[in-house]
Amino acid sequence: MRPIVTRTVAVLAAGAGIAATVAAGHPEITRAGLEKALAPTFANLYVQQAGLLGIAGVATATVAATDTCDKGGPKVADTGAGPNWICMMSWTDNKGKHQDGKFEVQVRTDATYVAGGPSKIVGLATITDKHGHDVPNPVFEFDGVIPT
Amino acid sequence: MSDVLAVDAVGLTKTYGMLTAVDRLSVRVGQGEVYGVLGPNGAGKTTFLRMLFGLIRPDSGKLSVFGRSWDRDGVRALDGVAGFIESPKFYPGLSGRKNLQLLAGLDGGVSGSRLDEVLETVDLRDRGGDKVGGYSFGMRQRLGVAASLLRDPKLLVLDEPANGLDPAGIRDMRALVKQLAGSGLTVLLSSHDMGEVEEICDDVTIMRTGKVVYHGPMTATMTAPVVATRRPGLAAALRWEIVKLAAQIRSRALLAAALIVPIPVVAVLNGQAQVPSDTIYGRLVHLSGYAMPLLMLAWAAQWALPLLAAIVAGDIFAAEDQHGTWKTILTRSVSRSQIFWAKTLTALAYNLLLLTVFAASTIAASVLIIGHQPLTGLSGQTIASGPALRLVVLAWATAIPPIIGFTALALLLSVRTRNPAFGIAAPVVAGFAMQLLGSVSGLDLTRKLLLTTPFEAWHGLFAEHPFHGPLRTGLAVSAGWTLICLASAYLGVRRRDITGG
Repeated sequence: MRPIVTRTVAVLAAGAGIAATVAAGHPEITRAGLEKALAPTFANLYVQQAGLLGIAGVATATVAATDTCDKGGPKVADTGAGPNWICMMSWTDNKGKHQDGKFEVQVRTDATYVAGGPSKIVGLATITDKHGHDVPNPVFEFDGVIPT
Repeated sequence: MSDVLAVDAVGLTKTYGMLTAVDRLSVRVGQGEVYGVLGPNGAGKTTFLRMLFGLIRPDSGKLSVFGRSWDRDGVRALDGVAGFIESPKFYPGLSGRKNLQLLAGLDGGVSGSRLDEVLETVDLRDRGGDKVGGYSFGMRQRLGVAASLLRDPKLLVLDEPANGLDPAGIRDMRALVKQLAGSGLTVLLSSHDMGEVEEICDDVTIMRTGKVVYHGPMTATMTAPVVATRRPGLAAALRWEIVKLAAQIRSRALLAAALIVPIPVVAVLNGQAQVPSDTIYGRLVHLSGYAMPLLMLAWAAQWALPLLAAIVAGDIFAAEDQHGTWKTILTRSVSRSQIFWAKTLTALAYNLLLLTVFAASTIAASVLIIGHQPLTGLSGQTIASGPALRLVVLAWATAIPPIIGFTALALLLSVRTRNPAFGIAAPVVAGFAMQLLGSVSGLDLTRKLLLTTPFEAWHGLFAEHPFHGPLRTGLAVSAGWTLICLASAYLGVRRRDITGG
């Protein structure tokens, strides 16, 4: 076969292959996946924050975090990466009170995410630990991963 | 005594598009003859010699050397044969002696005294330690003869050995060829100079525009049969490639940079009040010495790892084109396959060593400068120092499959483009393009097939309940890229006609 024909066929085949993978793909990042990943991560970090503050008796079980997530409002499908995920988190705080907070979540295409909590409830970016040192607040903003 | 002809070519034809470079050429050279192939430039003499050395394939006709043919015997067809095509090419950054040593390695090695002997024969003993880059044209021609003599040939093929030489150089070269011919060697000399051929040769074939216009008489001089020499094999080619790589300043400098650069980078990042929170683990770099290597891994995957993979691999084949040395190495005792695998294995081994040094330096610098505090996992869990170190090492190890994939891609581009700059830059650009495509939401399946995606497969190791799906997919995708690129590169090397240089 002549080189020009071979190359044209190769380019067309590559293009068709890419188009096929685009068409055949299905979203790996889903609302259920994010909800399943975010709440336990927050609970773990909330326990870590309590440890820094020297508050005893806080465990992931007592925090009992649950969440409900949505991407971009009712008209946008709750799948895929994007900076417009909102998750409503409910948990029991270190004083035993029920708390609700809105977390803004930026999900990347590699299924990792950055979540930021409401500072009025979870505290500012830095907190003063039990030794009197200013340290980063683990639940103010944190990284996580959605299992895929 | 043997009646096997040194060269037996029957009806050889080679065309390039509309041009018939050699047209039904038949040449018979008996053992012990000093045979001339005479003709003006463009007559097809060099094309014939390239076919004799297996650098290009004839379109039709049969060619055997001491009874062996390329089709049947592969590189064994060159047993007992040595010489050079046009002007011999060497690695300019190495000394004449080192070049000879390297080339002899492709034939199974040589003693120091033998090196001295051949350098003495071509009157280069005093300049053997000088870099070839500083040699005159005539000195390189004589070094070419020395490289040929190292093979202890029964047939010496010289293509225009006096071409480009000044009168004194021509006189010296003719004297050398006559001296060698007088020692009983079969000599096949190509020239456009009637005087040269008359002075040296017993018999002659005269060519014009690819066709034979005159054959001189055949002599019946016969000598002892060629004894097959010990075959050096892949190990010799591998040794040769490693020695050549080790002699390059670039490869040593890159290893040194991989060792040293992470130390100031870690120190500077640790000293900054602002943390790079836009990258995973960036916000934790002050809190744990295990967060910094993960941040560095995420950064390096964007462009540094594809670049590190391409610097040697993208150059390793194309450098032979750049130096014009394909014909130098392919006229020794190793096959194209052995050269291909030697270069491929050397590039892979070097890149894995580079990754190991880079990872070890980054991890060690981070732990020593920042500390070995526990690490926060990607599910918010606390990971103790020991397991954190193990996970960080594992995370860097997950870069091995895509590094191998990028190495294969760079090797392919090095073979196909024959351009070292393209071979090095193109994989980096391809890596950027893949990163960009991978950041587009909604292309989940496409994303999985990209060679950059396996660089992110380590994230799952840091979840409270680790998941390994991305690692398995990344391994399969990297293997796929590697196999396709290496297969294409291999075919490129095997099928290529070596016409340049």
